Amino acid sequence: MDLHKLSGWEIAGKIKAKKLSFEEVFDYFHNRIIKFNPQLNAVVRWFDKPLEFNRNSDSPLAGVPIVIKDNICLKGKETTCASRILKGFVSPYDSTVVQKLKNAGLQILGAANMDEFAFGSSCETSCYGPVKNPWDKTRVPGGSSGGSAAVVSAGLSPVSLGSDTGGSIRQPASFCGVCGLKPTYGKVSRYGLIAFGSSFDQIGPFSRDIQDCLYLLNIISGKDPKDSTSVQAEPLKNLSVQDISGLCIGVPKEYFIEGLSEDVDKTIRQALSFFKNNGAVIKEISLPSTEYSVAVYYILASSEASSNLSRFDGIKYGHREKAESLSEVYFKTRAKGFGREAKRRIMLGTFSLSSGYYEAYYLKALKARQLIKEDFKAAFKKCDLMITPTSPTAAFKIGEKLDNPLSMYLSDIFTISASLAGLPALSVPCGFTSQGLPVGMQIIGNYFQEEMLFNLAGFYQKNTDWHKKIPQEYE
Amino acid sequence: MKLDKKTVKYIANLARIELSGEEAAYFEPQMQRIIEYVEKINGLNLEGIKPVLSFSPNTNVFRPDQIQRFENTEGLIANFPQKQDRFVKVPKVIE
Repeated sequence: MDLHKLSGWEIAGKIKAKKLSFEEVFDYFHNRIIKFNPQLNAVVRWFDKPLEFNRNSDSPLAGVPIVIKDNICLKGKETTCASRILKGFVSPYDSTVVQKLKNAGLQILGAANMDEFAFGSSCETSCYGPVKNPWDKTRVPGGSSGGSAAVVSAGLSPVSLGSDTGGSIRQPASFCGVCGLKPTYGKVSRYGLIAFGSSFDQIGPFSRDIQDCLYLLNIISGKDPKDSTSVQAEPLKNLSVQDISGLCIGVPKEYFIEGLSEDVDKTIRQALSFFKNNGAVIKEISLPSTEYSVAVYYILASSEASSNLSRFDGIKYGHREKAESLSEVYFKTRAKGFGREAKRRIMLGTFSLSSGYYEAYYLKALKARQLIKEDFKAAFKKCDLMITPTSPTAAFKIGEKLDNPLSMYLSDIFTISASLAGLPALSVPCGFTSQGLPVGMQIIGNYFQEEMLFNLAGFYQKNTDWHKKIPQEYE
Repeated sequence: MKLDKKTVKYIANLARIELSGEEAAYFEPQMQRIIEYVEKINGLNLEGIKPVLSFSPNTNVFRPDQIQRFENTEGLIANFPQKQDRFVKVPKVIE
């Protein structure tokens, strides 16, 4: 049986009906990792048997295998953020999301490759080497959760978890042709997620079938005393995909700009026509501060990163360089342990926060963030949700942007605004370029309106089959 | 703001990252371009705008001030890069 063509909930159904055992399912995907990972480098660590899980769970994903991004702590296993500085660090505890997955009966297969400390949009900054895009192995899978997106795309796992700070779930989901959700800020506990930008970071699910994304979100979300930003919310109801008539979809005009590839533009417009033909109202809206988003984001996210990454000093865990004095331990360990992009971001953040520059950069960016937030507030008075391209282009070539950090940063231009505003946003596959590369559309909702995003995506998936396409080699 | 090699080295020092002259020369033009780019925000009128300090709907999250013992102390100790008995070992701090 081709289990990799089934959704997670279909696999769980077969286990419940005793047509498949936990072990058969685990082995099937474990073997696919062994067979295909050498060409993709999407998984950095996999386990011979699943980590202990609840065999009596009645969750809709009980028994489903899952891969976890390598910045989410797994008790008793190495967790490295794809960085040399954390090589050898064995997490002494489980992150909250991992505890929840285990309780819900999911079988953890392994850890996914990523950009070092989630700094990147291409998965090329990993200390384990780049991840390849299953649709074209000369191209990047996107980043930073590129490994998590690639495993679902190639059928090495039915679902996975990633993390999103400025687009790190949505952009790779779009490049790899799968669904990926960044939940509302506060929806999912970050306890045990190694911090990058604490006012942005959210953990979220990847899957092909949108129903799986919804189930996974219900499993991992909720209030956690160990993350004071997390909030309690009612679990989402099952998809309601019967009717979208009267739904008002906003299309921000600032997102259809120079630099948007023709193929992507065409594909998104086709999806918009589809919704219109089915009774939705398409309305042009404006988010006037959009052109400042990337600048605001890189000041704030780098500042938060420079502070969060100060804990990596070689003293209590991870890599330590030999040195004569304590301060030399810091300098040498951090010089050797961090890659170039990590150093760049730490230095950029240190600069923005340093005496004499704080007001001109960090404080200004915090104020500009307010404008971006207000743009969305005003726009959501005119529409129920928004649709934009997830990324201006399809997957780019490996090496193409590595030495041009600014051009790399600009590839996040469409995902960053929703992150600055703390809003939920979902990328859903909606077609291919003329070169056969997947294109994703981003659906942005108002705070805690994930249900609306899922219903629209569910309606779309019921009537299209983009999400069922699998790269030929992995059929 | 014009960034020079000296400033790059100064920032690296604040960030506790040892940087060779060669590396400083590599980062300088890249950081210069990024900083020029982010200075775009000077085009915004921010008069009277309040900074965003938090997105969480939660404010003043309280909990009882009770000690909760971490259950896996051995797991923490096992991660020490250098240790003596159950203590972290570091180079001499006070001369």
